[in-house]
Amino acid sequence: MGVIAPLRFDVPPAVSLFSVAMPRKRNAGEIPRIEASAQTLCVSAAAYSRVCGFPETGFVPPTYPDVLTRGLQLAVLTHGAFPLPLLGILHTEQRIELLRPVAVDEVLSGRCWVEGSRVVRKGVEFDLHSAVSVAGEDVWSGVTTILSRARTGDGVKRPRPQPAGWTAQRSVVWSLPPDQGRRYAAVSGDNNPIHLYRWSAKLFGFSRPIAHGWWTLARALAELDLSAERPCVINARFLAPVPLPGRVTFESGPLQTSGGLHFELRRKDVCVTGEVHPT
Amino acid sequence: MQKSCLLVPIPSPPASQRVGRGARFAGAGERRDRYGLPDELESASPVGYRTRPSLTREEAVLASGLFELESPASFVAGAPPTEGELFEEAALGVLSSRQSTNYAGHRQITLGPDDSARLVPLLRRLEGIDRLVLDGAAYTHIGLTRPYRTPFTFLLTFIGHKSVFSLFTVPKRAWDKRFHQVDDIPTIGYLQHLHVGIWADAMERAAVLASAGKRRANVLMQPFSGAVWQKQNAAVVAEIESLCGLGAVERAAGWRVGLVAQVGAVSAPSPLSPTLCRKLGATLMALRSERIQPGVNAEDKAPAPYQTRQDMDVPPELVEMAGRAGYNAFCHWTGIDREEAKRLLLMERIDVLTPGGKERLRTVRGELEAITDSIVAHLPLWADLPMLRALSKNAARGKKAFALAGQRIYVGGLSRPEIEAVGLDFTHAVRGFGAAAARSALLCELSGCIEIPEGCDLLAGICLMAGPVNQNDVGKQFYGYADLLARAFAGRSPTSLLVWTLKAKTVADPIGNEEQLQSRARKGTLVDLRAGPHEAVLLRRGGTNEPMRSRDGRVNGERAFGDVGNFVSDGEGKEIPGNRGSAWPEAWRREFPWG
Repeated sequence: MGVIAPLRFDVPPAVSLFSVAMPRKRNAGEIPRIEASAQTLCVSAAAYSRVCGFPETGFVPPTYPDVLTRGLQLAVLTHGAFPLPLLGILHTEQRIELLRPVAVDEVLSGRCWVEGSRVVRKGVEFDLHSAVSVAGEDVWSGVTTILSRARTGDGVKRPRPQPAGWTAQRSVVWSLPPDQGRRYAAVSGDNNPIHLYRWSAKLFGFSRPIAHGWWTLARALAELDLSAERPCVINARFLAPVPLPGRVTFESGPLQTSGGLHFELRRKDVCVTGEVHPT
Repeated sequence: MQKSCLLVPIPSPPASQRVGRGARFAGAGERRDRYGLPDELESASPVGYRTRPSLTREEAVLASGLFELESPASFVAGAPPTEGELFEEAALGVLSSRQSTNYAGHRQITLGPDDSARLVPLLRRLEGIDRLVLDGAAYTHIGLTRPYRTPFTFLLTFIGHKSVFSLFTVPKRAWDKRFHQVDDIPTIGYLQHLHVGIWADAMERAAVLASAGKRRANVLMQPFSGAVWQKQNAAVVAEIESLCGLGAVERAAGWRVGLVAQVGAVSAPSPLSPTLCRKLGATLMALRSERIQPGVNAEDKAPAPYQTRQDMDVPPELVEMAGRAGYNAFCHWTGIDREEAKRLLLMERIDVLTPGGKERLRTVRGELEAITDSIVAHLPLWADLPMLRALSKNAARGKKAFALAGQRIYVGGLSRPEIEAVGLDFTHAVRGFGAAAARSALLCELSGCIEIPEGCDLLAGICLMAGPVNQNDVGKQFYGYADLLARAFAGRSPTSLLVWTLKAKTVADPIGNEEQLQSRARKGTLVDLRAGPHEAVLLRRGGTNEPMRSRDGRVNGERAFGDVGNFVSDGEGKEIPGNRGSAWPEAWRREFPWG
């Protein structure tokens, strides 16, 4: 396959749910490099901060740039050359690098790209890269790891990275209301039906709607009360869905081996786990 | 003048008896009860479930200063308070000082410096003012109080009626209670004021501990106590209510200004170090009523540590110091002379260690049970039967609540004629009595935290109960019984108000005095009845009252003084999920609320 010309936009495009849901021809080939960029990202983080529990500090929450680049991500994933169907994909891991604090009034540009994949136990995994910059200086980057079960996996169970020793210093129970998914969808633009209603989730094999992975991560970071003024690297793994309505326990504490923080979200088992390392 | 008090170490029991509660989580399929640990805690309360930190003797000496705090004479300029400090002050005050967990009868409206300055001339116009009104307060708490109403007082609506007329007299009493704030029995009315006194006393310590010794509270209570002062001050109080935004709806629900606390920086900070202030704050969060004396009044199904007697006793010096702390508080709040206070506070010791105590205790228990039997026998069937006998079952359950067990058991009260003879308003004296009881109890509780041996929960605990007094009052009002203190203070028209049961022991009571709070239906979740700050504290800003710690869809999940880390765990160190709580965002915590 030849080189695909990067998609360039003034602002991130609005990609319809229809184009996301539209069945596409399965292609056994490798994921080519598909890239999209936008000159201007419009920051309006107040409602997002409220839904996720971030205090308004004059800086964007560390998860918010994902919302800004959502249109670019969808433009990449709905590109004709992208070989996998979007329905049924699962967000399994997230890496965020906050390179410097991003003020809410800064003029931001963004770009996204995807390239390559790897076969895992239950299908194929690929990384969707996003980056946000100010006047050519990268200030935020994210790597979203996505599992697609549209292809057969190798069935090999790989060991999960285990957290280093940590001691819980915070522990709080969250009661998640049934409309949590809709509330986050309204401020993030992520209208995946599995998050919205019981009936729409059932269409995709879930008995109840499930919380957005991005919301659980954002809420966890809000609970950690990370100072938005400090650069950091955040790694999170989404191990099990969080059904709505529901109750989950959030726990966090310092890692014993580094200056980082570990956090977990659990029902009976751990649903989300992650670490934050100041840089 | 207040006398200096000292916390008194309590000797440990023999090594073989040094045991703690040792609670654990219920296994899969195992029946959950109050002796186990709840599966999780979801609560906005700053308290959570805490363990008592062990105090060193040196720390205990320094902490003793908290029992003789005088009102400040002036305020000086100081750093403005942060939201976090206000939260922790409220945690030690309005959010934890009311002892009945199901009585949501206190609220606080906190005014910023500008409104505080506007309040000063109003306070100076009050009659019956017993403190200097100070300029320069950093903020001011307006303490609101309403009549004592709980499920118990609902039951009282049905008590003491004649069978035929009850169809009319029960609705009339319910109407009078709801719309005219009339109490079923006098001691229920006193409970409200006992709590105000407890709260006032706690506010003084709260200001010191939450500010790491920098600030003090000047609490004004007398002008808001009793019918006489209330009548004389009605116009000024109406202006205060207007200033703090207390509306007609709240007034109709019975809310009234009960006290005013001016808080500001003082020129001579407390000698307590910031670290000790935090430790003491965390300790105060851990103190709870201790009803069980191991081996004496534990239920049959209680685990082994509750079933074994411990060779421990309360040192006489502790009892003396507790009394001194109580007299300090009574004098401080009523302005009465110390010797006069000793005469006016009526205390009868009824424990088994006093001569004839066993018989006296048996008589008291017998009387209370007989009153309960009379209540059950006379409940109107037309009300009890449709409720599937819930009323009579509830009344009978009261017997269990009157756990008169401990090495020292006192019944305390006041004589209205004697109080009025010295020119004191009886309601105000009841408040002073509440403060005295709370301060003396606190001295015992903190003494029980000195050098707690490894594996033990505490060395002494106390339970302040109004239940036996209320039960006795039902007997007085409806069944011809005499007051609990009538025998010991014959001819002095005593009114009993509270019962103390002081226990030397190393095993703390279980979490949750109400077993139904850990019902299977809730899958082991403990229902926390204690208020969160957004439910009891309002910050007055820009002419409106805003709930504390309810912001942008979030409510408080922080446990006050949680950095000390005294959270309950099982034997293997596993904690109750949700018990540690979360942190309020630091950016919000650091804010000056009126900036």
